[in-house]
Amino acid sequence: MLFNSATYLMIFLPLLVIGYWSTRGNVRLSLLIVASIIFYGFWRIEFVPLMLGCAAMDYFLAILIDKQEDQRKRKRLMQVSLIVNLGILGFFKYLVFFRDSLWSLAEVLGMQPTWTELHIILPLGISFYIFQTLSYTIDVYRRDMKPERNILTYLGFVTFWPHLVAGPIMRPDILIPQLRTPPAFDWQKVRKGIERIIFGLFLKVVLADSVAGFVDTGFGQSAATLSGIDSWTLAFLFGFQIFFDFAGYSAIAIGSALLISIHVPENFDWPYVATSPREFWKRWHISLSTWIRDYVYVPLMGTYRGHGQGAWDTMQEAQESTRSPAARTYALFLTWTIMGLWHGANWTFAVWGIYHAAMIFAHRQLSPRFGKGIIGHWFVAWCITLPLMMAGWIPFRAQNLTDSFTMWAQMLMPWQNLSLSLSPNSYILAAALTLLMMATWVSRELVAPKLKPTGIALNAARTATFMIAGAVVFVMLQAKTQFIYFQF
Amino acid sequence: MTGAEEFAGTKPDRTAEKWLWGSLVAGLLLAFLLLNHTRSNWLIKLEEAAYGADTSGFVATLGGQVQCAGAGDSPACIAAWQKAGSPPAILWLGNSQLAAINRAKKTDVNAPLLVHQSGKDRGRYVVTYAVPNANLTEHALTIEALSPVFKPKAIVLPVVFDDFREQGIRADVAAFAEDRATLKALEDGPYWAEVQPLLRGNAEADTTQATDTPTDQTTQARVETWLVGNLEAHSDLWAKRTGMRGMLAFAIHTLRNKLLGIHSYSKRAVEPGVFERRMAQIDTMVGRARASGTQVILYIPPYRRDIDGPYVEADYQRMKAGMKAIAAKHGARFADLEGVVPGPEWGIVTDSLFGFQEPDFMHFTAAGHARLATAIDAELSAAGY
Repeated sequence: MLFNSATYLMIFLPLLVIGYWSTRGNVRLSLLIVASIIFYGFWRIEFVPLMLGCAAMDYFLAILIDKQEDQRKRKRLMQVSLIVNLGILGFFKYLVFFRDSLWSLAEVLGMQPTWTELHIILPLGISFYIFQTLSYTIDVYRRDMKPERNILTYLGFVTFWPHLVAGPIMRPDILIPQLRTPPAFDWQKVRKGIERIIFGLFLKVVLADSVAGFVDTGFGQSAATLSGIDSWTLAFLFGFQIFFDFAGYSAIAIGSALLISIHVPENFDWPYVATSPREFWKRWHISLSTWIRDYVYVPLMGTYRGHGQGAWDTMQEAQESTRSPAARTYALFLTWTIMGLWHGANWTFAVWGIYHAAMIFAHRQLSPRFGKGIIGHWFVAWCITLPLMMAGWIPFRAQNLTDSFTMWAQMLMPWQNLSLSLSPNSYILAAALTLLMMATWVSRELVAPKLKPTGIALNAARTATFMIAGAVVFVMLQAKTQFIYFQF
Repeated sequence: MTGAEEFAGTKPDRTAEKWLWGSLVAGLLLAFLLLNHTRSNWLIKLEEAAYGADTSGFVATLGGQVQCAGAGDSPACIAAWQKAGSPPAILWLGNSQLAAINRAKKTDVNAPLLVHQSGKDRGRYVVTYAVPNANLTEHALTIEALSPVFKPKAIVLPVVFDDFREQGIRADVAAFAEDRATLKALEDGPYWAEVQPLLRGNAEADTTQATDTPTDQTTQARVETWLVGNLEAHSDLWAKRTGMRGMLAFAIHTLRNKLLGIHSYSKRAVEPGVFERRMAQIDTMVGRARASGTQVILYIPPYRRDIDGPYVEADYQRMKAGMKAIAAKHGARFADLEGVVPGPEWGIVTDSLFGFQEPDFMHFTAAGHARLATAIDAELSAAGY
């Protein structure tokens, strides 16, 4: 079900919230699970058993892992979970990709392989729920948490509708305790939830969907006809589109959960004000970047800790630097390639991941030398970081690697071709969004906190904001587009 | 995006909590009142807003529709032509200059209708395809789609300098390519390199920018269609959202123009690369039509000269000279109709929403349409049609 549909906002969500607060205990959990399955099944009901099957397997495996004292057997059980989960993900998401890649390689080598055409539909949200159930069994294996015995609580965690299809990826130690001991009704959380939903819808249906037309038309053009200015404009436009789209989704998810007093962690924190690539990834898709850090990057560096030392994400970053530079670099690039391919089975995503690894690596190397000079000034650092992060979106959105490299080449030497082949509004929009983003950040982060909470100025601003956002969302609300991250 | 407490910068006490609720409820209440007021008092007719309040769209009909825009209404034009016995056809392409009349009275008609009438007297059937801001790529696609149907004896093709900057293919024109034969002709023809990425862009946009209701047949789509249909049937406020959406886009467009100082007379440069591509495109279009035995009347459309207009004069003159040379190269006819409509017969663009007024460099009155019709008719007669 789409968050930006009338069905979700006018029927599903009100009924679920009323039902949730009218029930208790296992009835409440059952309601939550059934509602979440309906939410998921609105897309394709036939993939519901797959999701429930993955969840059930990890539920029983986690209990077996916990009971087992023999370390070797515990590891085997954990490996079963890893192999089955990643096998399912590999089948649905990567089989065709690897087959096509091997096929291309064979053709390069002069062979002529034949293979039956495969039509595999990617189940919605599979990358998200597989990661969630995986982290559950890994945490139990590492004795960072006890397995959940109540299957309703456990299924509630896996199927929890706000994060089911596109995150934020929730760790079991955050969500399961809230389902086990539900927080009490809180009017302020309800208010916050409504506010987050309104702003999330504003980001999605007003901003993201408006930018989408310009992005689709621009990237639809032949890359060879685009100039450096065009490519930069498209990089910025898509950067804003995907931010509005995904931050909007996350805000609606967080807001929906708040209506039943469940806390879902933030997924975005003004990523485009980051002053370094590393900071960018602390602000962008936080739930995925921390998941990848804790379950891929840190293990790849060989930094394992003792059992039962709490959630991995509490690890001090300083520990990273104890590894050799070569191990860190290896782990960095491999992690980011995995991160890229997690987004999609295409080499463009792998290149996107490697690009970000290269940016973080370059920052690590250069910041000790230049970090204290003029480049260390936050404004200069931001002016460098923002275009670099935007340029990174090119392979993420381009049709293929050829187009990506063509556009990057043009961006590196924009003076060689000064033509403007996009619609004039594209350039205006890219510039306006950059300025508006900065103005909004300054007013929210620097000006608003200085105002008195009960003062006229702040509350007049809030009233005006809700009036405009509410009216525009009502006018623009259409279930015409999916969220971009649904495809991952 | 953080919560309201973060918005305020502090954790609220009980009084602050009341303020937070108060501002949310007040904001949403005001939003409702604003929407309700807009619905009752401010809604504008979007089709008029595109032309300006003083200019009205006109669709020529004479025993059937003889003027269309794109693939959507094309069957009506084809049916009317077939009903007339499929006489020798002349295809006239154009933009809103042909489709709209400034300061129109009830009895006024446009140039396409007048030319159709006089052509009929000579046993010719003039059918017009005019879409606002039509660009050359759209014209090329329209010709490819309609030539096998009408097998036109002649094509009347205006080259509007203002439209040199326009690009893309709008959905209604792109829909011509949904016909298999047209698509095949495009794939095999000279325009494919230009048309394919634009059609691909349209297809991508279609998957994300569909209509009010999703078109796929998931449960989501079916329930949403049912719900939205019911909401539209029972709530006038909901039903008028489409109009309000258009009005909002129009307001943003006007705001952009005011902020950036863009006027109807602001000079609009054409990128040198784009200019050259367009000239090459016209050369191909004329050459292709002539090679198939179709006469082409390439004309420079009327342009307002009583006040300084938006064209960069040197580029405009270069374009005119280029058109003349292309016509000569392919044995087509060239007509410079720039001056056929005098100053007083040109329009004024009045912003439908805010009432701002500016000179119109594209649309003219019914008298102007009569002059253009006479000029086109004379060209057709001179060409033997």
